[in-house]
Amino acid sequence: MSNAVAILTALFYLAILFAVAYFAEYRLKKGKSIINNGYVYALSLAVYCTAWTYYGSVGRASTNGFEFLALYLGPTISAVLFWPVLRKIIRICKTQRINSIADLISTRYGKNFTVAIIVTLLCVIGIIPYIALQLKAISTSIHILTNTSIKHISLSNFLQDDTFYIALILSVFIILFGTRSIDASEKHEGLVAAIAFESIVKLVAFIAVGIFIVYGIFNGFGDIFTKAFENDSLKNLFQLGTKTSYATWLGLMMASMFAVVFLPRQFQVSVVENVQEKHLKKAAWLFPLYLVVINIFVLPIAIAGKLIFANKNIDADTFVLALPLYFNQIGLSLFVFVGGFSAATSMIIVEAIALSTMISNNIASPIFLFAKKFKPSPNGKLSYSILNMRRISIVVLIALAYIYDKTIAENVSLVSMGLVSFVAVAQFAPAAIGGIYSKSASKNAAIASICTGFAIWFFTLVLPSLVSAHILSESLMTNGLFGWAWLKPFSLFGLEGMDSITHSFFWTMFFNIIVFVTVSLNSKKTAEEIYQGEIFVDIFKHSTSATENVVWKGTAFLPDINSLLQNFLGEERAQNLMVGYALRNKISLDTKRADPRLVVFAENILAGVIGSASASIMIRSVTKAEELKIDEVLNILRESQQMIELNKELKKKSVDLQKATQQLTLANDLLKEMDTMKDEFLYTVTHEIRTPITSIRAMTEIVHDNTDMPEEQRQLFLGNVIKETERLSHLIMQVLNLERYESGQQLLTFNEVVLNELITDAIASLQTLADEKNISIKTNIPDTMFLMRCDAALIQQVLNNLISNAIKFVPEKTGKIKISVHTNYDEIQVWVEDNGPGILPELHEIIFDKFFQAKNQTLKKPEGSGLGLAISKKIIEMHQGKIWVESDGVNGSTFIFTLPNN
Amino acid sequence: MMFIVLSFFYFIQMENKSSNQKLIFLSILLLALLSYPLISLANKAQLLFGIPMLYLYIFIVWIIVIIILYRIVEKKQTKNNE
Repeated sequence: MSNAVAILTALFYLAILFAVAYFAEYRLKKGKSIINNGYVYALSLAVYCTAWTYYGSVGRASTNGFEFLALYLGPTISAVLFWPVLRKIIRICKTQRINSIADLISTRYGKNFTVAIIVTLLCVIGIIPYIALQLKAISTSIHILTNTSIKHISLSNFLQDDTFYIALILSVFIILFGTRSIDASEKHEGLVAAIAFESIVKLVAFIAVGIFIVYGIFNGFGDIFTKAFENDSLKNLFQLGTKTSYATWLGLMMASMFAVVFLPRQFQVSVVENVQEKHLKKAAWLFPLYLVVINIFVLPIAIAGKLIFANKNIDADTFVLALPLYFNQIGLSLFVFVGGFSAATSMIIVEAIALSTMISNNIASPIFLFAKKFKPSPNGKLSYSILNMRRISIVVLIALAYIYDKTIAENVSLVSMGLVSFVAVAQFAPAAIGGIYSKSASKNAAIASICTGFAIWFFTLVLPSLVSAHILSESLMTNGLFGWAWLKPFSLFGLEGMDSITHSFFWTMFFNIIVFVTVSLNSKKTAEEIYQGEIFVDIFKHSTSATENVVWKGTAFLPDINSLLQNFLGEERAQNLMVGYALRNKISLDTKRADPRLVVFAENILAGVIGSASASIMIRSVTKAEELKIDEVLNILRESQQMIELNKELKKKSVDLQKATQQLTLANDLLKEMDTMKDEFLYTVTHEIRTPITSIRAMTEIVHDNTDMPEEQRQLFLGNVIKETERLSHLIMQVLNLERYESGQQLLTFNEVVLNELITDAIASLQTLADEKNISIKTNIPDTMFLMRCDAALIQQVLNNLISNAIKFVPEKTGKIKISVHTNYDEIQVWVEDNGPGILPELHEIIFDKFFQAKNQTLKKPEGSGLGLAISKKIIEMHQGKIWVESDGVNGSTFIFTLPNN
Repeated sequence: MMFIVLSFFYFIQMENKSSNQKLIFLSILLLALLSYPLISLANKAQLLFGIPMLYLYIFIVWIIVIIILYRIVEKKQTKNNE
């Protein structure tokens, strides 16, 4: 294939990218964003898969077997934590308008400049080789496609190099879509759409070649693996521990866990370009799924390449492209080339934007602003200067990567270049994660830990690459620094037996974390640090109030603030923002002195443009701020915290109030019910009392009026009067008793009694009554003594009630009563059976009500007060027992009560 | 081996905890399943259904985790710990 075809294809593909990006921005203008959904967001995260994944994984798999998978399993573990952890970072960045990883860490540690610069430098140094790797992949793939030998074009002849032109066009693309708005915290709509599109292209292309090789050339996975197993040199690719140690496997997994969050390009797409937090939910499973799909064919392709090119000298990194070419699949090869190209370009685009924002905000802008001795000039020219700074940074970055590719990289094996970057960005993890989860993390600790990690990383990974590029002498590797054997880059302190990446990762993280923790515990914090720590750690409490809290004291004049904003945003936009904010918060703009809230707002807006550290300094340059004391800061926080708490408490109180009202209504209903019950009770009691009184009165009147009444008759009448008064006093006694039980005044006097005796006594006292009706009373009580604790007098009364009731209802002569005792595991049951008329099932409950007989006048009126069963029930309940009746309504009835067996 | 793994995953879904806690537990479990010594149980030079055992193990664990992840985060009402 000719060179022209390859170049034209690449250019055509870039044109499509332009179209996609334009289309996305066109849609945004019409108000129909295409990136505002979880699928596009998840696809944009797949910028993680670079040309290194695309070509390099197969190369890695063909020598080290499974090892490459660790780099995709690590991100999967991170994806599980997207919702709990990354969401917190996103929330922090949105409320504070943070637009890069350097900004995040410096803002956390008191908007500190030193931190911002260190992080930026480490990112740039760590990532440029990674960008170079992408450029290298592009040029290599063009050579493979056109079947030209990879000729060495030296840096001075760059005009003859295809890669140079591709880098140039990429720079133009990035500048066009990446530096549109001055506000770096705004979304790059077109760019994200293009990245998502690239993610689809590289995935489809890789799957296409995978299917072609596994199913076109071989007969499926089984076939390839079986053939590989027959080959002794390939067999050990299928196990860990042969080529890759478990330590390396774990190290790579951990490093990639951090990389997927802290690599500048990942931070850009996952945090800065995030439109809505809820998109994280889609990304949490869709992104790992993408990784699974793109990795399924890697090992089979590697094996296929090894089997097919067994005796040819072909670089395993190029198998993906070389295999379809070998089988003369021109169309497929071209598509695979485009896929690799898309993987490389997407990485370069996002990384360049992320790094350029960092460079311009944290290095270029401060130098520029302070060198010029900043003078307010309200024409918005500064915004162009800042945009131009970003544009220049992009060009410089890509130029640096290109130069690196042409010089150092020519001599260095590229395989581990990406991993070197992974270890570099992992250095941010302790400061960043510690910063969002611990309030005691301090600025000094962050600086110290990152610098320590940086130094060890540089020594263990960067110096060796300079040695192999013949910039440093070989003796460093063999004899150690200054000839000290314990300072050998690949075996620091004599640690042997690890590959260089795991070795470096271990030592950097070890010292990084130790330094971070010890310095944190031993350093004083400034007010600003404490405030930011509070906001970061408790972001979900503060996110609504963080922007409204005013931690600023001093004098500022409105015209100064205005002109400062206008410098960066242009007059119109600055004016709109200020007036809008003033209106929302009811702040007057007429006074000359600026409200503290406006100052803080302006700083926040500026932070989005030039980063929080620069913004803080800019604001300070036009205002006279007073130093806030730590307790003042804490007071402000506490107040806003108290407001929230107060609010919560109020809510809780109103809920409590509602509950109380409900309870009152319930209580009221109960009272009403009890009131009617009392009326009824009184009515029945008076009714019951009136009957005997009427008859007493009638009989005494007769005796009174008839003085000549015969003696026996008078005796009879007087005898009846006595009986009626007895009945009356009995009734009153029972009413009083019941009242006592119900009000809880009656206290039980417990004593040890023998149930058998209680029953015998009860029968004995009623024996005469039974004999009158000629009734037999039988007992069936086991011989064992039922010793139990109860109030003997009261239980006796219950027995009396039940037995006398039975006597009342059984027929004369044939009447039979049987009393029996049954024991159970935890209760004793006493049964009183009779062969009376029985009780209908629907009456079983209500016969225990007070004056049940009185209310049911249809029943035959027997003797008794009508309170006996009610009282019995009460007594049994006071003993924690139960009482009920069993009867079918025809053949007698059985009253049963239980007492707990203790 | 696979059975133990599956039963672990089953427990995650059973737990009546907030989704944040479940996710943190899941991440620790995944790290454990993919590290020494657990991964060594599948680390054998054998083919299972024509596929190397370790390859099969890693991908099955991977896919199951994604399915559980999907079920945890895409629940209709995700509990926000705010």
